[in-house]
Amino acid sequence: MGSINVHLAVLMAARRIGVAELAEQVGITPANLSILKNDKARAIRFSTLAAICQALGCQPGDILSFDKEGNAHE
Amino acid sequence: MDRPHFWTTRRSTQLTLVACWIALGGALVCAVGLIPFLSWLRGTPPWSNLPDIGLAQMIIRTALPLYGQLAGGVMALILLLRLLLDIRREAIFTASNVTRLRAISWCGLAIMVFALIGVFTSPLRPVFALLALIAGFLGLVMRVVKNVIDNARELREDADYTI
Repeated sequence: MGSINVHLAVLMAARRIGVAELAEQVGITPANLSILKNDKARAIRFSTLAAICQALGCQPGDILSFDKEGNAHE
Repeated sequence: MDRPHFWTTRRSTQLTLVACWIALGGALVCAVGLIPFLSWLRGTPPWSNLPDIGLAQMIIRTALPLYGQLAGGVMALILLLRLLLDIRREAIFTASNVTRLRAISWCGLAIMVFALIGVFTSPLRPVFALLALIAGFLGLVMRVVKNVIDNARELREDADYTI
């Protein structure tokens, strides 16, 4: 089964925004944002995804991609 | 307005902790008093009428399986105490608690094995048969509880890692 990859770190670097600042804009803790950024998250709420897209000015497809060969988180 | 319940989760956990400590104390008393009790029992009807088995034989055939069961019981109680202390710290659905529950179920099965040995070696066959049945059943129940907590642990991890 494939896996979903999170490209948040790349987008954050491109927008030159740090974890603390983005976490505050999105309304989640820096710890949770780090979990997402480091690809450790198992699920993301639509509200969180919408807030990230709003903060970074991007689409969900810019943040998430599907890898056919990848291993899903257990 | 609803009255607050006296039996909160914390008080219930505390009560269970106290019960476990009492049970541990009881196990210690049993360990110390087992042989004197068996000696007294051997001289009391109907056990005093047992043919072909001397006092020493009866003690060996009965006390050894019982001590094996006591060891299993004490191990299970210690694991239960550690589990309850974790519950008190609100660390409930964790991998270590799943391991403890698995170990407790194995203790139950070990107690059943010792009881089955007692069925074949001791004159107190009905007692050992009943102990084997109870211990085996409780071991099985703990196995199922372990599976439930393991599933709950996975659900909790999913929730914790849902951003």
